[in-house]
Amino acid sequence: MDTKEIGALLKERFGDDVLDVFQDDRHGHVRVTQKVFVEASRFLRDDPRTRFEQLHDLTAVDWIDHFEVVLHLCSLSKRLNFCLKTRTPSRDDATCPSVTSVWPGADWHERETWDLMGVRFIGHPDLRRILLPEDWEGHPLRKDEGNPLEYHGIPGIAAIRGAEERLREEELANKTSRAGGRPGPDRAPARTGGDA
Amino acid sequence: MVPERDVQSEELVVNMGPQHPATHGVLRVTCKTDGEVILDCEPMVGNLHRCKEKIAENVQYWQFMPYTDRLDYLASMNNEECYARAAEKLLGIKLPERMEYIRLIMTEAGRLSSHLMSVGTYGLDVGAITPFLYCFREREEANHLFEKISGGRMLYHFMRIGGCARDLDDAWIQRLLEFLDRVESKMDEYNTLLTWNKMFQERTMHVGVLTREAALAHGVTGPALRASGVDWDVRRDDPYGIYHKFKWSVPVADGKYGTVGDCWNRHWMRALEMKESISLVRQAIDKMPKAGPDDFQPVESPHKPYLAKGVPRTMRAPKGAEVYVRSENPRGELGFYLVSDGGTSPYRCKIRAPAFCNIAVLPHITRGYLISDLVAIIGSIDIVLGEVDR
Repeated sequence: MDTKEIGALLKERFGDDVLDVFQDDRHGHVRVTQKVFVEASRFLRDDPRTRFEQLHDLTAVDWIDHFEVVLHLCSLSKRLNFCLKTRTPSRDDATCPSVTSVWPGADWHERETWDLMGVRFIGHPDLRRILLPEDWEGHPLRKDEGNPLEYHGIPGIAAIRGAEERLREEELANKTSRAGGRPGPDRAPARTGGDA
Repeated sequence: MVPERDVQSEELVVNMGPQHPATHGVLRVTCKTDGEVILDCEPMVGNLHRCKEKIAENVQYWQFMPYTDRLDYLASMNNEECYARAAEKLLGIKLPERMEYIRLIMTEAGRLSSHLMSVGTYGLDVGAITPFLYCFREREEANHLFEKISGGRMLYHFMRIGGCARDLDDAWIQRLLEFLDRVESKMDEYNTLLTWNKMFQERTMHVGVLTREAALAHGVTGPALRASGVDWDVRRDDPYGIYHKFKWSVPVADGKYGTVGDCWNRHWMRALEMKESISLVRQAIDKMPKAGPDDFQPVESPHKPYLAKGVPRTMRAPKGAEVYVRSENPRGELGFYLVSDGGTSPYRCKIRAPAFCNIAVLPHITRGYLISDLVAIIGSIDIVLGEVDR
């Protein structure tokens, strides 16, 4: 059974809530609305034709105006692979229903997605950061996330770059004062820019 | 399990790690204990987090290859192979047959080397130092072999997108075969020393039982899943590469010894898988074809990689294309989810790390056991923190 056939099964059960059935030679997926997301997950796990007993992977992709939550499912008894997707309402309202009630293994995957991508899973029993420290600000895998300046006195890469530039300027100033004069245009530093 | 006692003691929260030798890296486990019994525990991961997925978005496809070495650094070949296959599928690159054979030989040898390490250190975890030294003697030889072909002892950067660093020559293959013979003759030695050792069995049998249902529901994969009695191996059931051309058996726990899903069975699966890997490498070397005249690009200097014909210099995937590729790693199923926006680097790269999913099940299989069992259970899951934290 391929993605199109599973998509047809979902269409039969959920009708217009199945938004997109796609398959090419690389990958296939079915996208459903948030309303039926958990219901469709449970259907895929329990239906005797599919039996996706294993949640292989759960993640999210940042598409600027919304986030797309991507589930990769695996059926060991039927030897099937499947990809189920849903979208968050918008970038500001980055929420998605949790599937921990269907697959307990989704717990850590959802915590990781919240931690790194900032998608809030409604109904997750314990949605905390997992890889980053508790007091970290921001979600680094978002496309608009910049480099942090510092964390508890540890300078970030942006701060280090700034400091290097300041140091270079100071060095230059010292050199010129020893030489007893201001740098003329011909003595301007050859080494500018770059990360050194 | 400990029988119920009359004396009630106070609950105490104990931290194990992150600098504990038995946690295989920088894992911290917070245990709620009553005396010596674990009531609950929680693995705290993230100490080794390096944001690999963000790095992938900022480098080109081929530049990410060395970073995959640092995921599961005991099985770098297998990580590289999986990433190379994901990128090739995304970019639409077809491999010549000889390259598929080279990949199979290298990944199975990598699995053997990785399992030698896990079997040896598992003995060390539960207090047996000798098997560790024996296994390392062989693993050292494997490291030498890999160093000879790739230049690195652990972090090889051998696979390339559409090829590998260099072709396998006959002298090297001969050395590999001799090494396989030697390891195979030593296999019984490990088992006598460790697997059938009464003390080792007392420590690991009937401890940390992971049921079949829990293993499936929590997404546990690899030897840990097969130790729970699930007959599933991606190499056989969802074959990739050229695995369909070979015959080998997939070991599954049947409850003949210990309980299905206990620590001993997880160890036993690895010990059996080593033999299968040896058999697979031998079969592949037997059948390996010569390179066809139009299969590979000419190698102009020893520093140039051995690439298939038609591999582009600038790699650009079609806009919106995505792939999800998985492979059977020594620790479970590694998955790469790549999304392209038409540029030269992935728009999103998600790494499904097997050890990350396997260690999440730890609280469920430690409740009610002793603190000393916790060490045995963590060792039997066989985690590599480079992969858990990414």
